[in-house]
Amino acid sequence: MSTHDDIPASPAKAMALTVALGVIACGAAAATFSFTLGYVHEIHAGPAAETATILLYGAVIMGIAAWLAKVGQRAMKMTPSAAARRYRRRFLVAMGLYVLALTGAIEADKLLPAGGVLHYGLAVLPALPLMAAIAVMGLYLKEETDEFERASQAESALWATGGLLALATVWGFLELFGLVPHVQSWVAFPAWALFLAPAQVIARRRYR
Amino acid sequence: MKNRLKVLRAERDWSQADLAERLDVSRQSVNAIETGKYDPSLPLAFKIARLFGMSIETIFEDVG
Repeated sequence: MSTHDDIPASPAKAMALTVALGVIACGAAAATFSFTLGYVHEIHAGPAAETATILLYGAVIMGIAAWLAKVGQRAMKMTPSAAARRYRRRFLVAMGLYVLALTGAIEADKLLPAGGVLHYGLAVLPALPLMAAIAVMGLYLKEETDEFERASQAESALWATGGLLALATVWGFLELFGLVPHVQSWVAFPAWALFLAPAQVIARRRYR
Repeated sequence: MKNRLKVLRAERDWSQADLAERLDVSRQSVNAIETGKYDPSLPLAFKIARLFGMSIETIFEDVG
């Protein structure tokens, strides 16, 4: 036993590596998806084949996300707590349900008459797993027994929220003056998640 | 807040990971506490004190 392992891994480098890997993997997956969907259209394989392609793409993206989470933690020399492992598992389940709900809603939308009660339910369907994902994050903060990790994650969430609020405010006014196109509000959650990654780096850097 | 955690740990030849395991926290937590960047809660401070068999004020020094 020795104290030589006291130097923590650089979170910025680890995050940069993870993001770079993510961009490459997601880019490759998106290019393959675009090509495959184009091919499915070209040979008139039918809506079932299109749905299968979309679902497969969703599964691939989720696989990449799970793999990146592991790579990122390894690069940061982090050992995930039991609560963090549960969080990752639950979050992936929620994302899987989201892919299914979104695909299902898009397909069913073609069959349902517009404006009916069912149509409202259908439109809200993809939001439910995302709401579950938000709840999963809250559950993680409740279940995490490591108080430093909890504080660090809560701080990251606040940074991300601040970033999202600032962006939404600036974008809103740009939109008001007709300088940028309208952005739908469901973008808020993925945008917040995008802010969360650099927010975690900022929060961790403070404690190094 | 200053503390003697690193010295106490070195006296026992424990790595940060060893101490983290004994306290049931992450190595990052030990590092943040040791460098004075993060002040532990009262329950964790008591746990640290119990582990080293000392009082809290022997380990942590309020420089504020």
